[in-house]
Amino acid sequence: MNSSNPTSLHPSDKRPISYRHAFEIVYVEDGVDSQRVSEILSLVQPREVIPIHHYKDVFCRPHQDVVLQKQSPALILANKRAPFFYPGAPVCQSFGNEHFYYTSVAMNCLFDCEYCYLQGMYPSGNVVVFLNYQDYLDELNHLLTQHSVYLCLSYDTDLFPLEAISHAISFWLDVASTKENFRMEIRTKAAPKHLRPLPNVYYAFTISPQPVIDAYEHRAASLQNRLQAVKEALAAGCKVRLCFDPMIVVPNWEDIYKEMLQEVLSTVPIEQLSDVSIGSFRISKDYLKILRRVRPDGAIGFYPFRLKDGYYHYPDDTAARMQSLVYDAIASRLPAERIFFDQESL
Amino acid sequence: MIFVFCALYQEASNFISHFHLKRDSSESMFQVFRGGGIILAITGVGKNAASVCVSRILTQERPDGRLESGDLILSFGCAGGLGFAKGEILQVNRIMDSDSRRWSYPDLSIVTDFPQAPLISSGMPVCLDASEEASEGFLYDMEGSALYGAAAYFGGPHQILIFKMVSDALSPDSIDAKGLAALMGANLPPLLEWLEGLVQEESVGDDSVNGLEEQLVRDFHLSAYQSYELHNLLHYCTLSGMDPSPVLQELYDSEALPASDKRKGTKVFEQFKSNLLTSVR
Repeated sequence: MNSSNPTSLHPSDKRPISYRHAFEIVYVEDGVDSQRVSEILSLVQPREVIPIHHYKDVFCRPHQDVVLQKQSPALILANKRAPFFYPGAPVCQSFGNEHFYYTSVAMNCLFDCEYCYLQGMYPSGNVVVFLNYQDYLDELNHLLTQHSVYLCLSYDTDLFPLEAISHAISFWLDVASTKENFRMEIRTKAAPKHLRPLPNVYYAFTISPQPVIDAYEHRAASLQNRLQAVKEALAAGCKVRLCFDPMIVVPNWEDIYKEMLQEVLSTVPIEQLSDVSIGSFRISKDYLKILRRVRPDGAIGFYPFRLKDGYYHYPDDTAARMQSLVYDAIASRLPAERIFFDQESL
Repeated sequence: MIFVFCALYQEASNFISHFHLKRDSSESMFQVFRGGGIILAITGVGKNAASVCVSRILTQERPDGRLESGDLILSFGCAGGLGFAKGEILQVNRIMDSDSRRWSYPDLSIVTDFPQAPLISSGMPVCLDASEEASEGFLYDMEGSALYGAAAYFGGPHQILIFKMVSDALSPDSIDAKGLAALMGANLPPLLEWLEGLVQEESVGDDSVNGLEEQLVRDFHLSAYQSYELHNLLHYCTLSGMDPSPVLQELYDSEALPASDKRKGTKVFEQFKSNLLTSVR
């Protein structure tokens, strides 16, 4: 009775097993906004809707197969409990902002990047979308009474592919439009259209060479489409940040990244960018251990990294050469103070 | 390997005959049948029996306590329920233990065409006349939660599938062993057919990589940690399409390998790593 389109996710698994499409199964936590749930269910049209008491009952089960779930994730609709905002991690760039926070309005995303640290952080590949935005807003308002806030909205997800379901981006853009001492970054590997320009919102595009996208950033937008989206966003007056981060060592990486940079420089009006960030792949010791377990066939995780202060990095000379490659290409067209490096990866 | 667990022989007999399973006479505690990538065990009735049986079989087959990535556990048996057709087969999408009131959730990643339903497992048969708990749309059995709980120690939720056939409308006395066997025989073929597609081919390891690794561990005089580093490095080479042979050949040609002792071996190993990574550029 299984369907006739087999896909095998594990090399050791030779069964003709078919896996479900994304969001065929939707779990709904007790107490979430029923009207929003109805809207989402009518959009997603799942095969099964399963009520749950707490999203962690499903999301935090032991021994889950994250890679398998990334192929056919279930959707979990839930309410987030406090805290709603977290201080930025040392490996994340603050872009000179003093009060740097990130938030989780969703956990995991529809893209499947083989190097994603979330595979080491979360026990599940299923996607959680939190729906209680008013609670986030209440805490933000409280924080803003104390100091300004720089908020990264999409560290634990890529919100653009989920926007039709979550409406998170439109909600947070509305918030940003009414706050003066508030700045926000929305990072993506998608190629969104018709972005709304706001003076305190940075649209951050992760830029990778097409061979890296093909090999490791499954289901993410192509380089060409990302650059086109960047161009359109700039033309619309949006603040745009390019993130050459994480840069990945692959065979012939120098040639591959040089080719990518040529394409970037010929497509994007670099002078109009708000800033650029450059960083090579780095990951915490604990997350790499899990990444190697869940992705035993992923080349990136098995590079012989160097361990420094609890984080694995490329060797210093390799990381420095990677960062110089991008810096040298960009620096003639963008002031140095608008180019940020990830110091942790050096 | 597919591990099939049924509480009763009547629930198992169609699996045994369809897959030509043979009785394993070496197992004295439970009835166990094997063949063609399937191990089927008859647990007996109740949560204790299910827990003990699953623990025993999986500990014997997977002594390190972890299922292999291709392993699946399939639980099958009859259940009572209201609002279902007699003989209907359903896949369980959540299970509640009636004692702890705690729900468990098997993953539902693998596509099946069977309808789904929640299952409640209790220590006593649930009878419509006596029970205040019976609700329409729920299945009731006496093993599911314990079986899932025991299996979850060994494998992930994606490796545990539970199917139930509706045997009665919460009147367990209405069906006897003969009637149950007949019901199974009439309704089980779709599940057997589906299971047939899952029987795994044996995987074949790549002995050549292991052979090279063992030789290098000897020739470099590597410690346990260095051997682990080498293992990951060779794995990285395989995954990224790099061939370490030219770098190694240079070391053998220059007689740096085999190293004469551990100290020199460590030095050459560092040189090997450096030369190899330089070649990635």
